Amino acid sequence: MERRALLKLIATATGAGLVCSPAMAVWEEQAPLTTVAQSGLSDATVALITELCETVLPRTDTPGAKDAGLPTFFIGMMREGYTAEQQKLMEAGFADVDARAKNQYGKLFVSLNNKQKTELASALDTEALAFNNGESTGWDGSDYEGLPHYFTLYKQLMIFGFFTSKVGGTQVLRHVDIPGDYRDIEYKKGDKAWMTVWPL
Amino acid sequence: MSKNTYDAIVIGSGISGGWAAKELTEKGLKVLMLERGQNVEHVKDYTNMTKNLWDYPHHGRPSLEQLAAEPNMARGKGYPFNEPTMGAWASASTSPYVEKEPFQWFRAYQVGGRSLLWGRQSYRLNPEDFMANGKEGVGVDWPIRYEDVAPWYSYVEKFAGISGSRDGLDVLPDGEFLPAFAFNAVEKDLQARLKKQYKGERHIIMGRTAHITEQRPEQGRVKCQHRDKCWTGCPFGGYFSTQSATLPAALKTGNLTLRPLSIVKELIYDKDTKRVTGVEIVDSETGLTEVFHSKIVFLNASALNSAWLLMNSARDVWDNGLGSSSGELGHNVMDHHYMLGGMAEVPGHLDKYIYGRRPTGFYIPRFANWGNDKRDFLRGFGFQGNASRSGFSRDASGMGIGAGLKDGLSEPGPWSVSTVGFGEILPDHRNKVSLNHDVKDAWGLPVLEMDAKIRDNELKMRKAMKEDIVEMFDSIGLKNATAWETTYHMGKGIHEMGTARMGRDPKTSVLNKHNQVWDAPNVFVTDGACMTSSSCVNPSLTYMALTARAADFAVEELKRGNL
Repeated sequence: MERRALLKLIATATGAGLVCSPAMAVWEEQAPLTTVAQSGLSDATVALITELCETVLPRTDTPGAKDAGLPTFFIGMMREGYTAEQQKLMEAGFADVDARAKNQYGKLFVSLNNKQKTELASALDTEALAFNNGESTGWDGSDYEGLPHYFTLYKQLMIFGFFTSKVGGTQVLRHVDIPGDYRDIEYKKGDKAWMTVWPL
Repeated sequence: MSKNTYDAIVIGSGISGGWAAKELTEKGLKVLMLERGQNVEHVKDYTNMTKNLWDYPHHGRPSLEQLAAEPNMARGKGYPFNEPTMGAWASASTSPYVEKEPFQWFRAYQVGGRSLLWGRQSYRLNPEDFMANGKEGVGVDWPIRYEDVAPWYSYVEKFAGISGSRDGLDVLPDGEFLPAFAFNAVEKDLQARLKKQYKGERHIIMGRTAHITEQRPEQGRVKCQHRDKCWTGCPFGGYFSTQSATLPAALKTGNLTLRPLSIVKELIYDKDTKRVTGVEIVDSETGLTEVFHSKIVFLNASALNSAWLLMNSARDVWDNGLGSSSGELGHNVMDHHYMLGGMAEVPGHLDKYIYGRRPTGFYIPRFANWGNDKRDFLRGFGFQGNASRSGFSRDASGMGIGAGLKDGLSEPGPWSVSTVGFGEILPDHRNKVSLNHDVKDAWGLPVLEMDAKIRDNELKMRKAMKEDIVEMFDSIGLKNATAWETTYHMGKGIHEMGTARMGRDPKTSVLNKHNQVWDAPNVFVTDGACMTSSSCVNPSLTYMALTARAADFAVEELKRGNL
C-alpha cells in the first residue's frame, strides 16, 4: 500500500509521468515480516521466546511451535502488530520469566527441564487469568496501565501464529484448498477442526 | 466513426458499468468504457487467489503500519481491510476526502471495481419498497413500481447467476434462481424452530447469492467450489463480477473499447442542445487530458463518484453542476446501517460438523413493520448469519498451556449462531456530499466532503434490532443470547445510495423514471446514486436491473431520434 501511494505522490509532486504504475498488482505483495536479525532482540531473548513457544504449544504426536516456525513469526509480529507500550510490556515479561526461573530453580528458563518449563508457564497462565480479573498477583503491572498480563499477549499471539502457519493449519488442523461443496459430516471426538481462510 | 467518437460512453466498470457495457454493445452500439484505475485481467491478475493465511507476511492480519497507512479504512472493525485484500481498496493518500461527519468510504479503483470485492448478496426490492416513500411522505415517491422492474430483475438474474431458494415470501420476492447453497444441520433445526415459534411470520432462508451453483461452460464459468476466497478474485468465475460475466460478453460483440487509467474530470455540456456531447478525462498515468465524444453517456462511477462528476460538470451553467437544478444533487445520501447483531450458543449437535467453506450464510428477511408487526420507527431490517462450530480463535484463557491447549484447540468447539443486521436508512436532504475545492487529490481535482449521519429513525431501529435478535434466540431455546454493537459510520455498509435520486418531478429529483438526468436527457445514471429509497436489502441486484432497463430504453430512444 505505502509503496504505491508514495510513488504516486512523488510523481505528482515532481510533475513526472507515471502517477500510477500498472506494473504493480492490484492485490499488492506485502513487505516481508521483520526478521529475527532485524528485531533487535538478543540471542538470549530469542532463545527464551523459542522455548516459551514450544512450552505453550509443544510437539506431541502432531508438530509443535518450533516445527511450525512460530518463534520467528512471534518475534516479527511482536514488532509489527503491537504498540510500543505493548512491546515494552512483552519485553519486560521476558525478563520477568527469567527472574522467576532463577528464583525458583536457580537457572534461566532455557536451561530448565521440560517439566520445570511447563510448571512455570502454567503458573504464569493461571496468574494471568487472576491478574486480568483484577486480583493481586506476583506480576505488578502498574507500569503498564490498561494492559493485560504479559503472558496473555504471548498466548494470544502464539495461538494465532501457530494455527495460521502452514504446519499448524495443515498438520494440526485440517485444510482442503478446493472443497468443491458444502455438506454435513459426522463428527467424533478427536477429529480435527478446519483451518480458516480469513484473518481473525 | 472518427477517433475518440463512440455511440456511448460508460463511465465506471463495476457492477452497473459492466452491465451498461454489455447491454449497449449487444444492442450494436460502439461503446467506450472508461475506468479510473488499472486493468485487472480475469484470473491472470488475481495474484492472491490461491494464497492461504500463512502465505501473507502477517498471516492476513494487518500490521500497525499497514493500518496507520489507511486510517480511514482501518477505523473500527473494518472487515474488508485485511492483508488478502490490501491494495484492492483505493487509498485515501492519493484520493482523499473530507469528513464533516465521520464517513468510511471503501472504493475499488480498478477494472471491475467493487464487483471483485462485493458481498454478493442479491435480493429484489419488494413492491412496498417502491411505495413506502410516497405513502409515508418521506423523500419523494419512486417514479417506478415493482412491476416496472420485475422483468428486468428476471433478466439480470438469469445472466448473472443468482443462487437461492424460492421461499414464497411477499417481503422478499422470488426470482430466477440457481439451486441454493445448503444449510447445515443446525441451521435447519433453527429454521424449523423459528418458523414454529413465530407462526410463519419470521423466516430463516438461505442467502441469495451471486454465485453459480451449476456449470456454465457457455460463459466460461465453473460452479462455485466453496473456497470462500472470493475477495481475492475467483479463478473459477464462481461469483458474478465484471470480469467473470459482463465484460467477456461485451468484448465478444467486438463493439467495446476499454480504457483503464482514465479519470473522467468533466462531462462536456452543450447549452444549446441541452445534451452532453462527451467527456474530458485525465490519464492517471501520464497526467494528460483527452476528450471523447458520444451520443449518450452511462454514468456508473459508484453513487458518490457519479455525484462528484455531475457536480464537477457544467458549472458555468449551474453553480452546483449538471443535474443540480432541483437542489437535490449530492443530497439524500443513504447506506445500510449495520455493525450490530446477535449471537447465541447452540447446545448439542456435537456429533455433527461441516465440510467445505460456504461463501454465504442464511438470511432473516425483514419482519418489522410488516403485516401485523408495528413499530415506533419506519421501515425495517434483515439479518445475515450462520451457525458454525468455533475454531482455534475461541477463548482459550481457561485451557491452560501445553499439549492440552494444543489438542483442545485442534478440535472444533461448540456450535453457536451469529448474525449481523442491516437496516434501512431514510433519505434525508440534510445528508449530503459536496465538492471541496480546498483539498485536491493526486491529480489536482477537488474532492468530496461528506456530511451525513444516521438520525432518530435509524437509532430507534438499531435498538429494536438488538432487542429482537436476542428475543428470537431466547425464544427458540438458544443459550446466552447477546447482542453486540460497534461504531457504525455512514458509508461503512459499503452500500452508498441516493445522491442523484429518481423522481417524478424535475424540481425535486435529479433523474427521471428512465434514469435520465432531467437537465441532460442523454446522460443516464444507473448506479446507487439513482436510488430513491434504500430498502433494507443489499442493493446491487437492483442496480443491475435498473441498468439493463435504462440501456434498453436508451437504445430505443436513440433509434427514435430523441437523444
